[in-house]
Amino acid sequence: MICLVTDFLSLPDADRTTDGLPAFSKPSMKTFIAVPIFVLASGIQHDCHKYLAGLKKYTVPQRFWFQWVVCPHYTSECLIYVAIAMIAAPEGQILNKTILAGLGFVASNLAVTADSTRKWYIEKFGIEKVAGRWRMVPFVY
Amino acid sequence: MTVGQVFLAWLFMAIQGARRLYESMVFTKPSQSKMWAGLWMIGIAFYVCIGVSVWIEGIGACPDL
Repeated sequence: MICLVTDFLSLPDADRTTDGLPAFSKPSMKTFIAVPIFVLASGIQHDCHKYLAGLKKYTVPQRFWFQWVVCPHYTSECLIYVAIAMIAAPEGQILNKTILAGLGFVASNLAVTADSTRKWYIEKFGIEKVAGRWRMVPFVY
Repeated sequence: MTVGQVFLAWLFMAIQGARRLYESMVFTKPSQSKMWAGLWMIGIAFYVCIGVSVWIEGIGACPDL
C-alpha cells in the first residue's frame, strides 16, 4: 500500500495525463475483457449462493446453471481468478502466472469438493438426478 | 505491471472478499456442519499469499526502487 501511495504522490510528468491529473495508464484490451468476466462471474456466484441458501434441505438444485453443472458457484469462483490473472498480467502476457498458480490451487480444491458433492447427490437421490451434469467445468470436468 | 493493474487487482479481490463476507452474514443459516480447522487456516493463508503476491508482482511499478 505504501508503494501505491508514494507512487501516486511522486508520479513523473510522463505518467500524467494531458490535463495534469496523476492518472493510471490507459486500460489495456485485457482489462476490457477481464472486467466483464469478473462482473458476470461475481453475479452468477452471488445468485448461486442466494439460491442455495434458500433451498429446502435436502433437494437437488435445479436453477438455471445447476441443470448443466453440479457446482456453478465453483465455476464462477475459478472465472473470478481468471479475470484477476488477466488484469494483473505483465506486458506481453495474457495472464499473470502467479495468480494462475493461485487459480490452480483454488480449482484443484474446488474440484475435489465438487466431486464429493456429486457423489453425495448420487448417494442421496440417485444417479438420474445428476446425470448429464458436469461437476465444475463444462465439457472438461 | 502498472500501478493501475495492482490497484484493480486489489480492488477486485476486495470486492470478492466483501461480497463473500456479506453472503456469509446474510445467507448462512445456523448449522451443525463441521469444518476441519486446518482447511480454514489453509484458506486464510491462501488469501494472505495471493494478496501479497500482487504487491510483489507490482513492485516494479514502485518509484525509487
